[in-house]
Amino acid sequence: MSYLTCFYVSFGLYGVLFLLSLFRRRLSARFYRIALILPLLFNGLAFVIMLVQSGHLPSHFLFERMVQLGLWVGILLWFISFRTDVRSVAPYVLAMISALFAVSLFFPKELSPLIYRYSLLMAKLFFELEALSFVFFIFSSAYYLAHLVEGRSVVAGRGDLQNARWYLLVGFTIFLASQFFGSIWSLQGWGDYWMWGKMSAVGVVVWFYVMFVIHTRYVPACSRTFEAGVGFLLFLLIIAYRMAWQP
Amino acid sequence: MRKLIRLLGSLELTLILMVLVSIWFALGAVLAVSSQYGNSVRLLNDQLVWKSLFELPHQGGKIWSSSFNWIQIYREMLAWLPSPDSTVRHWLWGALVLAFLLGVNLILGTWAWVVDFFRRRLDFRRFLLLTMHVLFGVVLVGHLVSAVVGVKAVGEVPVRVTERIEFLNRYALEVEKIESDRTGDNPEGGGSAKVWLTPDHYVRQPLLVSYTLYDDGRPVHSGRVGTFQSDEFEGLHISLLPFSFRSQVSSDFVGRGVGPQIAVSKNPGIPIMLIFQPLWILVLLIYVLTTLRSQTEN
Repeated sequence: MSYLTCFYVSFGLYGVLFLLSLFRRRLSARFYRIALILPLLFNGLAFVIMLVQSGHLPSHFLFERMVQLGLWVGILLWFISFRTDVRSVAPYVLAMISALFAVSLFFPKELSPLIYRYSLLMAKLFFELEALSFVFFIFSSAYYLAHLVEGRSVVAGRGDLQNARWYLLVGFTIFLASQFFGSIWSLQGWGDYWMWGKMSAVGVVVWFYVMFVIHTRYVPACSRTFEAGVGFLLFLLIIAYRMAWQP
Repeated sequence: MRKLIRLLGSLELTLILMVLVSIWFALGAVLAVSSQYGNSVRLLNDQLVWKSLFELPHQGGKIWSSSFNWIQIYREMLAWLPSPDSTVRHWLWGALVLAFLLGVNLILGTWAWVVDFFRRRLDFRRFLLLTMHVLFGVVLVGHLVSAVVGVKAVGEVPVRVTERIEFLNRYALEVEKIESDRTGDNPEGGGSAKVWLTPDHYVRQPLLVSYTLYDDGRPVHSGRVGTFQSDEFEGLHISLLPFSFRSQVSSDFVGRGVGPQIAVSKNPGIPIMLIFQPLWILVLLIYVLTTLRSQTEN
């Protein structure tokens, strides 16, 4: 079975799961725990086959990255479904995984060649921590979207906005760490920790936009709906970020 | 005056500046990938930032493809666009003004916070918040130091034997030999005559470049550099810039050839970044964990 077949199957399964969660809002947390296994299995298979065929972590081309992000976000959703009630956020997380996969349909689905950046530790740390930070950002955006659509919700014990903010802060910390390792990578190869170009520019865009979302809470003029709105836009920014990285 | 200071230190201004920085750098990313402006953006890497505010190292003209069928119409359209050099320099000035305002906003906003901090009861979370903002300020200072102080001198693309880079009015670097890198420890994948170097499928050999450094005409150091195998002499960092960096805009290949560049740099801002940026991340991490703990307890 090729990685593309596994990708399309997992895409379809995530889509079906999302539609189910959309039309049957009373699905239990246990349902998600069981139903997520199959799409995660195919998503994981696609990831592993890509890993074996390319010989490196799939991080450079947009398609590879989206498959990786979908898998990690799905695993996090599955994992936290054992600890908290994910019913309020699961449909939105599934929608976002489907959106990531849908975007990747418009980009080349070949694997990026084995090039120097994959053999350097700092480059690996940069790419993989960046992916991890995006997983948390996506979760944060899902909570913000849940708040926008459903209003105040305290299904999981904490409010959606509180959850969103926590995931945002964790994601931001990891994103800063990835940027730091990226700086050292740049220092090793280009002789300086900062190089002017599209990569550094889009990094600054994400960096300051996240800081903007974090600070909106402390300005009285910004309502909670405004905070949720700009928080959700982070998801679109992440997609734009990956598009900018695509050679 | 007091009103102005309050405005400059306000959180409302912080929000506006953060959005503006995001938009400005998004514009910068668009310039960097543009066929017209991309090469001028990358010229910013060839010298210290403050010099680029006034002049870029090379003049880059507008680019058009001779294979374009409606060449005359294309030229007419391009004539309306501002020149790449002035556009990039204006963009850099905008980034500088935003960074300056952000710095002022941070100092004034944090100052009131510092005073308030000592008046009120000591609180660990408030201390962490204050520390992370101060550390962010130090990181901004690190960038300022890198922009103004140090050395940055870059050769032509591609590097050639007998190429000479002069800098600081006393040093000169001369390229003596270029050879194929077949060593096993080459991170580009040495051992084979050709490697895939870029994701856009350009192929070339990894190189090793031998050079001699002259101080007032006297040879003081000889060394060899490869991609991700840099050399150092008295704080000067000599690197062979990876080729892929310049391959992102097809116009790079118009007339100038392809291949890596050799560069000499000395950045006094590096220790600031290497110490304070991880500290900033660490404080943020402690803050996140403290927040989670207090939420769990509640």
